[in-house]
Amino acid sequence: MRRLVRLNLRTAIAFGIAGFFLGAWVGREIAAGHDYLIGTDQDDVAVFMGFLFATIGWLAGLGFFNYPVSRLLGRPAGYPVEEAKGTARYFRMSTDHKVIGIQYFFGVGAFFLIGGLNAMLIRTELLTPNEKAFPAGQYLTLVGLHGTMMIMMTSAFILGPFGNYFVPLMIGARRMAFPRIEAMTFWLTPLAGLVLMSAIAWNGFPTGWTGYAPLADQARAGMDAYIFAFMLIGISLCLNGLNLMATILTMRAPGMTWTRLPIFVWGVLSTSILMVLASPVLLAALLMGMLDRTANTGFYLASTGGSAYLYENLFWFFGHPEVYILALPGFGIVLEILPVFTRKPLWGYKLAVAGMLGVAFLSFFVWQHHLFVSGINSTLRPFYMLTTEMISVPTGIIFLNGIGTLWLAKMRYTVPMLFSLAFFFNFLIGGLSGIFLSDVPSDVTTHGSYFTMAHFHYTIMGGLVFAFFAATYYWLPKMTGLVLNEKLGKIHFWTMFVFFNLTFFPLFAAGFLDMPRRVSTYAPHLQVINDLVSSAAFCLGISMLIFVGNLIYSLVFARIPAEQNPWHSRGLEWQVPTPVPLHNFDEIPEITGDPYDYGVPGAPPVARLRPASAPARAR
Amino acid sequence: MARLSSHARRILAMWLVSTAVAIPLIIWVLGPHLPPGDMTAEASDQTSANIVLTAVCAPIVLLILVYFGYALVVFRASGGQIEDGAPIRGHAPTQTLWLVLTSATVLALAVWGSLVLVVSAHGAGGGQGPNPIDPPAGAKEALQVQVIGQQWNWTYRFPGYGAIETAHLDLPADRLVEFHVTSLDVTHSFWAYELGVKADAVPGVDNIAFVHTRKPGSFSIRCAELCGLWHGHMYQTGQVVSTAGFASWMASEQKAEALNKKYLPPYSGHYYPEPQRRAG
Amino acid sequence: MSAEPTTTWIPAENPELEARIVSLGSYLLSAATTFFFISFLFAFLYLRALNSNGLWGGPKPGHHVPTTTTSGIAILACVLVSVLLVRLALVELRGSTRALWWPACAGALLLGLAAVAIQCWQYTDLGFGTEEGGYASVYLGWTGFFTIFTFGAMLWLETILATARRAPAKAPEVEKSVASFSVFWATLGLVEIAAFILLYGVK
Ligand SMILES: [Cu+2]
Ligand SMILES: [Cu+2]
Repeated sequence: MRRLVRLNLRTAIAFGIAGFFLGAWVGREIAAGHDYLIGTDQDDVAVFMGFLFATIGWLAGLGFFNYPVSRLLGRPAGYPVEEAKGTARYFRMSTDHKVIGIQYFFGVGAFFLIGGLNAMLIRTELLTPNEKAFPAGQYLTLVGLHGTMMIMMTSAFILGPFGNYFVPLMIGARRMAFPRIEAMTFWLTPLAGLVLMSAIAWNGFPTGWTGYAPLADQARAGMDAYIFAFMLIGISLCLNGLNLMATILTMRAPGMTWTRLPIFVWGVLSTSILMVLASPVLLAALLMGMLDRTANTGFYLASTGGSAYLYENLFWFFGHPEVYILALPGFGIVLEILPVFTRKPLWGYKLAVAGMLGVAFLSFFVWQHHLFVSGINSTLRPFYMLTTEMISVPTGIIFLNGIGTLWLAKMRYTVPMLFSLAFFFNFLIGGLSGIFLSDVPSDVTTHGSYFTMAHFHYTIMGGLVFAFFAATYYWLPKMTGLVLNEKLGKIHFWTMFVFFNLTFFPLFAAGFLDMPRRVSTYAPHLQVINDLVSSAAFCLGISMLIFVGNLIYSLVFARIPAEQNPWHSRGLEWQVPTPVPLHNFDEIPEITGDPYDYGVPGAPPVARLRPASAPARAR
Repeated sequence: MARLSSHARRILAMWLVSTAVAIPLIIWVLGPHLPPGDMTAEASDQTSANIVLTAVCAPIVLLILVYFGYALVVFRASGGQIEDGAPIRGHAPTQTLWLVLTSATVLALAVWGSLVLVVSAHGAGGGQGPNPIDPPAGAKEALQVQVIGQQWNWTYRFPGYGAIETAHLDLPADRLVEFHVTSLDVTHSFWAYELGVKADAVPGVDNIAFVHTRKPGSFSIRCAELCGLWHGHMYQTGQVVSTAGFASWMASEQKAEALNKKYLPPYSGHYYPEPQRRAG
Repeated sequence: MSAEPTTTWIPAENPELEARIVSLGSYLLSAATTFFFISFLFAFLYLRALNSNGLWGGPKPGHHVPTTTTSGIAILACVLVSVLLVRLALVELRGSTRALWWPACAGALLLGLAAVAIQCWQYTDLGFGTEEGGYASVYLGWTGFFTIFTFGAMLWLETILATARRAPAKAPEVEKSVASFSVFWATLGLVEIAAFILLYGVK
């Protein structure tokens, strides 16, 4: 099968841009026939059609339609595996889960840095109590871009790079269940980032990441970019969860019983449940918003028989599980890393599993805690207060696992271990500040204030992002085959830990002192706090640059080859050679032991990698 | 076994001592500074909720800090050597105890929160929607104030005083006030910080919040839900004044509003403005 | 940049595993689809109960836009018969004769496409505009996305038929792929029943 054109990122961009203009033209033609367009200054139909065609062009340019078309023509099922080396394979559709993991790492990482840059600009504006740096509209767009970009990208921050790369390796599989869908979940992500950023070209959007209607119905065409980008991410999340779940449930190697499954894989599994079930609701909520803006329906407009509450309910029905889509992978990462550097079995493994599944289950029953003062269902508030506070029980289990695993440990303070320990500190503050928001009387004070904002930055940045860096320092040597500089890693850790806390802890006080979220104007007496926070935030930004510097130094200049198992971990993913061969395992391994049996006398090896040749061990 | 329990005893002692120091500090030193103060009965309830929650969190934070601090110092590998720790997989009594304690704390907090919300505070100053389940005693005589959020300002209508509309909010002291919060365009959130009131202003909804004012004083009003360009500018200062002061303020407002009254739409619990949508 | 990579085409390695993956994937896709349409079900019940400004039913309070029950029944019948035909094909594949599965599936495909066509035709002759109240909004959203999902399901069914036509596969493999498809299509059938009851019955 010879191809005339080599499909890669270049063709994707070309087809995407061509698709956009074609779609915009089609959209204008469709809308031109309808008289409701008369008297409006904007063409949302054209913008949406442009994005739709751009997506089709982007995916076609990457070659995603070749296989479905061939299947429609009745050609047999199967999938191609490229035996290519070199960087070119990262810039086109690949069905190798290891290539996709690395694509995710750098792709999502780049957008994370863009989101971080937005945060720096926001903090610049907040140096003074009045608008100085940016006009009010631009400031709101920055807030929206920061929030939406971060939520979109951090949703895939751990499951994207590490879930895709390591789940097959950890369960003894050669690939993911649906390799093409896996590739698509990745390629939709940078497209979503680009679509979101294109909002700038249409005067931005004023709603922040929550996109509340009817403000969203009123907003200008930048809102369409928000809606479309978030829809792409919703599809990507749903498919990623479906794929990971199918992989874990069907492709475990023989002997990989449920009690031998690495705890990270359990974290991925419980997150996947949320991704499969919650993202479709987000998609539906956004599609209704899209219809409001293009087809003139009135889902969210009270004056025409709709309701703003409908959006709030649907959005938070997705939004709260989303919070745990962000948190659960972090739990999995730190519990995976602690046993390696304490040289102890994971303490309370079954309880940890129960905790993560419990969090996943409960998270579907708490969404109205975001709406305690909205006037919805005030009679149900005690119920949502109870369910929300109940979530602290399974979350608390993760802390108990940490406590038990540290007991009588032989700790090594490596960089991944430091990030994991900091996770507990940050998540403790993040979690406990959540109690103030779950209790209705104190929520009346804190709702919608900087207290809330500090709370979720402690859980997402302090929890998820710290866990992401723990995983990065732990696993990147396996993924790239190169050692990351430890000294720079420690500098990165300490600056990030200190300045993260200096940035966000004072914001609890700002919230208590009546500073609402998403304002560019605040009371003059809050300037001291805000200037302190801004200076710390800039240092936090520099800390991120230290990490980027470490990546460039270690991966481009130093290039020290990594050992196969530098941390002396029992994990199955460390038993394969570095770099990982194309098919992961020569033979599907047979799992013979527990991944965390450190210090257990007579513990069997975790797996027999070549059942045919390796000598059998007792038990 | 003896060594093991000596670790446990040291950790326990440090935790108990630090908790014994922290809790009085929280209640008597930090507590009076916690928001939103005591200008209204509801604000007092929220302040005590904030104090109680901080006091409940303190032992938890201290347990984790003391334990992790101790473990980080004591349970470390000597000199970068790789040696195995104790292969303990769990401890059923500890696990059970932890589950029982966390569940009991959580249940107690939820029950207490519900009691404060429903029985003693009648909504604790939060918006309760159009039909509050448990209005406070004397709700019939309450001062009715309609709060109208609009891009980007707050206005107030007083149905008991000819439904005039004012641009400022004055309230009488020692009075039960019934806020009816609504919006003319997008969702706002009426946040009277010192009064301990927060209620979303949603188009087409009459969101009710009760508050018992006490002494005279001033309070700040903000918008706590992103509502577009000048969201941060929906900022006013209101006054709680004496009953006589309120009467004279109201009289002057009524006089000033007399000419405007005929342009006001008829008073209603909520309004349905023309949809501001983009159509196209 | 490296030279043109060598690409090896790997056939589905273990048909038994492949079938299990597709089957599980089908259940998960059905769950996701259910949650997607539950959003519209919720929107229907919620907006109907709120009836804000009295405009649930139509542009004036107390008025309800007309519904085109005939085409509604036609779409429901097409979808349900199609679902039953796929079940029939499955019984046929599991039985000894296996003769009828192909025509049954082909019939199911045609009926599914007919449902799509009827819905599209109905939009041209709706009798009410999209802006006329909450019902009109939910009607447009629910039926619109249901039609798109139905069309996607028909593409899947076509793939099964085309594959079997081109390379006559062993019956167990066809049976498994039809079984997986049937799960998803039956889910959409349930969604259509709910849609019919609510959009044409309850209104
Ligand atoms: Cu939540
Ligand atoms: Cu506002």
